[in-house]
Amino acid sequence: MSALPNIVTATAVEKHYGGVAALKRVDIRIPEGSVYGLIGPNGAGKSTMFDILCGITKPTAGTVKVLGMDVAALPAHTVASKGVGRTFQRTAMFSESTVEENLLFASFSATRHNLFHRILRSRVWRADMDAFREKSADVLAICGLSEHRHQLASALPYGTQRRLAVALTLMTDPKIIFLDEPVAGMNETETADFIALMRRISVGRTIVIVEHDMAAIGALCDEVTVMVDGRAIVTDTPHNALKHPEVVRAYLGAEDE
Amino acid sequence: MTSTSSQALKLQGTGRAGSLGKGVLIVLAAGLILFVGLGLQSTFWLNLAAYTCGFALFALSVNIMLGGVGEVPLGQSMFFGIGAYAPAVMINNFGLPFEFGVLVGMVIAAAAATLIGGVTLRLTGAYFAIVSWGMSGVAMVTVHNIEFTGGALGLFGFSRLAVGPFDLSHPRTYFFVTSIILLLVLILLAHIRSSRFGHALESIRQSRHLAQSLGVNVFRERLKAFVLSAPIAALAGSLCLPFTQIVTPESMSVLRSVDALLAVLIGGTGLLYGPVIGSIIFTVVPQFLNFDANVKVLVFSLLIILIMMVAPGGLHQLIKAAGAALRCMSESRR
Amino acid sequence: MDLFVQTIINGLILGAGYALVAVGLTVIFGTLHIVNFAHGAFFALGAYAVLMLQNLGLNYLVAVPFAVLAVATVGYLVEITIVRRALYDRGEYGSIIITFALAQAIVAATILIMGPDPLPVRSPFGQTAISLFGFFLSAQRVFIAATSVVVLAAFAWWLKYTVRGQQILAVSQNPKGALYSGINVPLIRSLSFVLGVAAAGLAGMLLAPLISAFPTMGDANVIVAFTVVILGGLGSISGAMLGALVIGLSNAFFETYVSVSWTSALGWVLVILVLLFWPQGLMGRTQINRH
Repeated sequence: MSALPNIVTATAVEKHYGGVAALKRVDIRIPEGSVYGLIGPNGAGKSTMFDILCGITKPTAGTVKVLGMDVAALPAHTVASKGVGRTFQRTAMFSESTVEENLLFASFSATRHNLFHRILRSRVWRADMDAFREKSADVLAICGLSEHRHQLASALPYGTQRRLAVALTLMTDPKIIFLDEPVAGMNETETADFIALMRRISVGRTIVIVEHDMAAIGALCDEVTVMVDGRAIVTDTPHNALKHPEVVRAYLGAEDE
Repeated sequence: MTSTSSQALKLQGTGRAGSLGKGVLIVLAAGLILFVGLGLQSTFWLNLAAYTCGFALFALSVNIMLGGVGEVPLGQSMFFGIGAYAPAVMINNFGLPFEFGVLVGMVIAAAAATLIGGVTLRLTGAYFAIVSWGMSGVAMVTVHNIEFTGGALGLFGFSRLAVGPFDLSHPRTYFFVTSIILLLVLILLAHIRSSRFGHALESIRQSRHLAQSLGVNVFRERLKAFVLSAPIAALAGSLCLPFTQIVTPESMSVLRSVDALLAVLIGGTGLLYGPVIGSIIFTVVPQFLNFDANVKVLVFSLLIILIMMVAPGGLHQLIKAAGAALRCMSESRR
Repeated sequence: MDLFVQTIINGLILGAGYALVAVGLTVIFGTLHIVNFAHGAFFALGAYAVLMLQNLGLNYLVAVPFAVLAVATVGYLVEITIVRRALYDRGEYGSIIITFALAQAIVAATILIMGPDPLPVRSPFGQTAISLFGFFLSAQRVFIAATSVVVLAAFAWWLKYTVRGQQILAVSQNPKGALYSGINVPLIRSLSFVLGVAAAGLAGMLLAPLISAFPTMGDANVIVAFTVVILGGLGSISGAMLGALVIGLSNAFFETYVSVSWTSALGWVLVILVLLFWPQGLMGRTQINRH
């Protein structure tokens, strides 16, 4: 394992739905600053595990600590304001608004002023506005969205929309970002662009990805955990993990069905 | 398609062009008020115009929830009723002045909204609508059964309805007072809409889930919106009192909320002054049609259904669509 | 003690009546995912349908099945014009407003056509009371309970053992999956809506001889229906039946031991309490729209 401290520790996590055990005593350690992947065939429980790591779902047993916090116990907005960023597959952006407005919405937790500050145009308000201007310019540049600044989010091509989703979490200054199948549905160019984006934002941050796309995983991840049938089979570099006999069997077996 | 239009308008408020535009609008509105207030001669129409302003306030409060938060506030009539009952009770039972009653009504409404919202705003969609409806139902039964509020007959025969030196029994004064209050509230809401709080609400309306994951305390912001809407509804109830001259348990009925919903839907939920336009149509048009009460309900209900099916964005959406269609036509001609 | 047992019997019978309305609402919610605020209006339509058939000379018992057909037809027309085009998959508040407005429109139309006053509906059971172990049961009430039980049992059997019934269950549990299996989802949705409102109409015509037909008769019932359905767990049919019993009993006890004039408020208070403290219901499945 790595010598860096663990930013995420999941211990003996179990999840039962009715009589079905979706997760069976899973342990995960994610070192700070790494790019970490969660992979596995369909139905392996990786999405469930991912939701539990983010704090969206509560485990039936076991504990999960992210940045030292018990994320399942805290309300979602508190988790987000303490540096945990997430992107979702479906509700990725505010589709009725422009890119800039999207970023403005995302800057809520970073700003402090209230109505009075604004009406009086006080120092607090001006500081917030300047900070937003700077930050949004940075984020737009990093995500390659600068020329789309005033476009309606729903009018953007799919790959660009997914980059907007990343831009939104970046506005909250996250220390760790969870990405739910980020390159799903993207074509080759979009995927390549996105991988480049991931590389840029992984500097100084921890990234956790759950994905099917092995090329992306291989290109980005320092470590992956392969999940099969609710269990964590192996944790290693992508190259080694995919050669593990049980993993090979699981994937080939899945393809047979 | 570049759609900077009304979406970008929301971000305004920081630029100098925005302030100028708003200043012009205010001047226009003030001009309109003067025009109507000095131009109308019939007491009936002046009173109706004043009532329309009061009703528009109620429609605005409903739209804070509908267009702002994204919930159907079937029980908003409860706050309207509180605003109507408070001054009535103060005047008839305690001999206290109207203005005092209005303030009391607004405070009670805000307090009630805090308590009620605290529990009900964790719900959404049909659940919230049902509970909201239920609250107004309970309130209605309560005022119906209590002597203090006049029981089934309600309260009427008010000695003096006035705001300071302005006597609301004079139609012209009544109109000026209500229209100016309406304008002030509109200005306040405009500021709120383009404020950080307003943006938070908009983000919640578009996607609660996403807003939450970006650090917005959805529950707290929704509660703030609810507590903001309640005293506005109460103020509306108070200002409608000089027109109706009576307050009954029916003032709290869910049907009042539905009236306001129709006004909001006609005008368009996306536009700040949409509810005002809808209220004008809602109160003025029936005057010319002289319908039986039930025919009015039937027509309006069918109208709501039609609007929701064809143009849920109300007049605002229709106008935008017409504008887009005209642009298409002129472009294809080249 | 006698009063206690009598109250229980009243409660059970009330519950049987509520169950019909509640199951109808549940089926509609389960397959269409809308809360049908117009449900009470169809309840009233049922009563008026049987009344009009009676005025044409038909005996009550003969009129009931035809009246059910009439309500079903109206439901079908509403479904294809309004519901289908405007409601499905519309996530926001559209369905709430539309069904609510629909209810108002139906009530207003009823007032205009039939007048606002209550009109009596005759039934062969009239005022007769049956004596059972020393307790008196109104014959009409027994008829209501018996019909309700039979209809619900038949419906439960139909859901489980016929193709169409299973298709309805499939669509309510997994609409996309059902679509992929080749089930005609729009047809099933129409069918569910029609069945749901027909159930409400049936309840209305069963209760009409007791409470007379009046335009707003659906309002009080729809509140109870909401409570029942939410208590039972929105989408769960067995939950709706169980909830109906619970609410029926509590209403009966409240009326007997507490007060009658505040009973309408009780309905609302119960809905609010249930929504706040048992949103998933007694047998609830999904927590749609709760948070």
